[in-house]
Amino acid sequence: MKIRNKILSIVIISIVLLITLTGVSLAQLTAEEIIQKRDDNEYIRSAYAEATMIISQGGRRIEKSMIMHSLEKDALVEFTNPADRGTKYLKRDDNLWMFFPDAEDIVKISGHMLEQGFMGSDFSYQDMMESDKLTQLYTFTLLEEDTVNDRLCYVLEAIAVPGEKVSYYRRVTWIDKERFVALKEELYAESGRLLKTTEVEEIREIEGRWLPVQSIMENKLRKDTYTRFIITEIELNPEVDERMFSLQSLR
Amino acid sequence: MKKNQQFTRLLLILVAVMIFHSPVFASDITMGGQLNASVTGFYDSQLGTGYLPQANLDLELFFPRWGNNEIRCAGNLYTDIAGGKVDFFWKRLYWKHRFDDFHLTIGIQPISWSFGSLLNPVDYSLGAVALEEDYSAKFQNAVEIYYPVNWHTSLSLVASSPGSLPDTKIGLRGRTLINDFDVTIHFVQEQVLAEKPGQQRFGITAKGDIGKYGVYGALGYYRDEKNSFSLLIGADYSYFFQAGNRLYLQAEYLNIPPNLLSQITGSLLTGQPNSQDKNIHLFAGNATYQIDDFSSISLTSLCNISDGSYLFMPGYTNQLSNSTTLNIQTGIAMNTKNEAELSSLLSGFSKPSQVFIELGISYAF
Repeated sequence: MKIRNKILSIVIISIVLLITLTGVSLAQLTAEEIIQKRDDNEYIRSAYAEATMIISQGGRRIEKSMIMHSLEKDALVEFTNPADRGTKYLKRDDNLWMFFPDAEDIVKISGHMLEQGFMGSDFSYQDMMESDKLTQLYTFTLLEEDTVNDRLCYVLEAIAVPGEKVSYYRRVTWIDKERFVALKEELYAESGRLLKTTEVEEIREIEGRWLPVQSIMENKLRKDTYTRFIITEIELNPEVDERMFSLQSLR
Repeated sequence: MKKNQQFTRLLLILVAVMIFHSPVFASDITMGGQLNASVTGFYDSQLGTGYLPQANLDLELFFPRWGNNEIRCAGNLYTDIAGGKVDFFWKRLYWKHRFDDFHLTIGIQPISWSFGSLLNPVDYSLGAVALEEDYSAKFQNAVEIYYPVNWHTSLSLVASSPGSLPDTKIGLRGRTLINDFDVTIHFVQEQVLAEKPGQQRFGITAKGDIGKYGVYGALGYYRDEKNSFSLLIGADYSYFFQAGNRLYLQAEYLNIPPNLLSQITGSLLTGQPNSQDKNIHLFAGNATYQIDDFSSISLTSLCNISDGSYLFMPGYTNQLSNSTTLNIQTGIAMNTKNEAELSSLLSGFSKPSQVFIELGISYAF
C-alpha cells in the first residue's frame, strides 16, 4: 500500500512538474520568439489581394479600391476606383515608382515621399508596402500580458534598429497568444508622442494562417481621422512572374 | 490636317478590326472618364477683362486585354460655352502588342518623357505641360517600340507625325537605374523627312536621393542653326508637421536658350526678347501644403531672372467626395516690356500684365 502511494505520489508530482514546466516554457517565450512566431504567421512571401481603403475625417469619407501583387520586398499596386483609375505604384527594394495614367508617365518618387500618407490615407507608403520581416527592422521587448477583445495577448515594445528605414520609431503591439497575429498596435514618434493606433477588426484563417483582413488606423494627432483597410480577396503564394515587378509592367 | 484625319480613320478601322477579331464581348467593355467644368475670369493689360466658362469631358472605353493585346480608346470633348465652340481630340486610339522581347504600340498615344521636374527642357515634345498649357501636345500619332532589357533598363524608339509627313520626328530614349538614380538619355530629330531636317536634341536626365532630399537634373544640347545648351538642377523635400500635415517643397534652376522660353514656360511668361541670344536664367518652385486628408493649397512660381518677369500661381484643391474635386487656380503674370518696367519690377512694385482665376469642379466616373 505504501509502495502504491509512493508511486502515485511520484506520478502526481511528475504530472504537476510537467504541467508547471510546460507552463513555464510557454510563459518564457522571449520577445524575439514571439515576434518570430508572428512573422512566421503574418509574413507572406507572395500574395495577390484586392482591397478597399476608406479614408474618413469628421463626417467626410472617400473610398479607394486597389489590386495588389507582392513578392518578398517588391510590390505592385494599381488603383481601380474612378478618381484614381490606372494609377500604379511599384516598389522595388527601397525605390518607389509611380505611373501617371493620363500621360502614361513613369516617375521615380523621392525617398522622403515614402513617409507620407498613401494616396491621402493614414497609412504611409511604407505601411502599405513594408514587407520586410519586423525582426529585421526593430528590437523587441516583452512588456506584459493583456487582453484585446477577450483574446489573451502578449504586449511587445519595438524600437527601430538604427539605420533601418522605418515609418515609426517605437511600436507597442498586442499579439494574440494563441494565433500569433497582431490585434492592436500603437505607433510612436521618436519624441514619444503617440501618432497612430491600429486595431484589427476582423481576422480570418487563410491556408492555416491567421491574417488581419479588416483593420482601422486612427491618426491620433487629428480629430476624427481614420482609415479603414479592408481586404476583399486574397490569394497566398500565387504563381508570380518576376517581370511583374518591373518598370515595363507599369506601362 | 487631312492626312491626320485619314490616319485617324485608318486607326479606327484598325481598332475595329482588332476588336472584331478578339474574343472581347460588348458586355466586357466598360466606360469611364472625367467631366470638368470651370469658369475663368481674367485680366490682360492689353485685352482688358473677361470671363470664360468652359467644360470638357474625358471619355474612355475600357477594353479587357486579350492575350498580349491591348486596345485603348479615349478622347477629350471640349466646349467653350460662351463662344459656342466645340472641339474634340483623341487622347488614345492605339493597339499595343506585347511581344516576348518588346512592346509595339501603334496609334494615337501620349508620349511623355517626364522625370519629375516642374519644367522639362528635354521632353519628346517641348511644351508647357507642367503648367497644363499645352496639354494636347502629348498625344500624337505615333509608332513606339519599347524594348525592356531588365526590370529597370529599357530602350524606346518613337516615330510620330504631328501633321504632314515632312513633320515626322523620331526619338530614342534609354532608361536605367544607376546607384538608385533614375537615368535617361534622349535623342530627338525633328522633321526627319523634310528636305532640310529640323532640330536635333540630345538630353540626359537623372533623379534620385541625397540624404533626405530628392535631387534631379537635366542637360540638353540643341543642334540647329544656333547650337545651344540647357541645364536644369532641382531638389524636393517634404516636411511633416506634428499633426500629420505635410509641406512639400520643390525648386529648380533652369538655364535655357531664349528661343525655348515660350515653348517650355508657355504664353504666360513670355519675357523680353534677348537680343544677345544669351541663355535665360529661370527659377521655378512649388510649395504644397496638405491641409488635411482631402485638401491642399499650393503655390507654383516661375521667375525669369534675366528680365525680371515672373508668374505666381496659387491654387487650392479639395476632394469633396469619392469622385468630385474642387479646384481653384489663380495666376498672376508680370511680364516686362522695357527697361523702365524692369527697374520698377526690381524695386518690388509693378502692375500685373495678366491675372486669371479659375474655379473648376471635376467629376470622375
